[in-house]
Amino acid sequence: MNTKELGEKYIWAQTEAWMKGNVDAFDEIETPNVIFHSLPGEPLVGIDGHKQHVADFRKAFAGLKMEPEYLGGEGKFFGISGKCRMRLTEQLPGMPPPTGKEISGALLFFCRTKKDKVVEVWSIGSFQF
Amino acid sequence: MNIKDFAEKYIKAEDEAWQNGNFTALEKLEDPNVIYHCPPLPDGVGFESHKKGVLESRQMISNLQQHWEYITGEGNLFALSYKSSGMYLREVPGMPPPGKKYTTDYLCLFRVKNGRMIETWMNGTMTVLS
Repeated sequence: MNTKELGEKYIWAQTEAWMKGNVDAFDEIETPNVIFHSLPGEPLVGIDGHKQHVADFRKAFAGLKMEPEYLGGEGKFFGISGKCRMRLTEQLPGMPPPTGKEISGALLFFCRTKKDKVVEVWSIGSFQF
Repeated sequence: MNIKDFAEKYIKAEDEAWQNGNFTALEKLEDPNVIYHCPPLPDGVGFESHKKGVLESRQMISNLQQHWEYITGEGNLFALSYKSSGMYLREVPGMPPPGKKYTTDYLCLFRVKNGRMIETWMNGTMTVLS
């Protein structure tokens, strides 16, 4: 797969996980020992930690909408940006208070791949509320 | 020049621009039509727009400390982390209140073409310290 195909597959997996709760979609594109640097916090190590993180955060989201976009890639790397909108129903670490109002966010991912799987991800998100 | 060398030159050029107001090195590294994507702000287009933004920010922020770090890269694509702290001197819409110290954490991706930076995506968080 070229980097664009890998990027599109990663977008598919993220969409499946966040929109449908199908966190096992990450098995299709991430290695078991994937490292997930969600700046500025400590990295998550392992696909199970990533799945749990998504599952935990989904519980506090209502009306989630996502617009991911492949930015470009080269060699082992590709970038993805995304816009999202949701309402928060619970307080989450690093997130604004759950006021019930819709908030919008911008996300950025930079992924390193090996043998057609994502092995390391750097990501960050900012929210307007 | 490999991509890490380019990234390190960019870091030095940014520091020179922000700390000393000297844009000579930065102008050599950026395409005249470079695009900066930094949501929720509208895209910044062109080196002159970037220069104007830095010059204006230099007038608004005191005690600015910046730290860039090369994360990784290949070919014409690289990533940096960017941390900063400072204090706004006057009211700026969407920015921390004047007199309050803030910190930022950003992830930045850069695309290079023909030895010049042509596109950048930045995203991050800003925290106001009590």
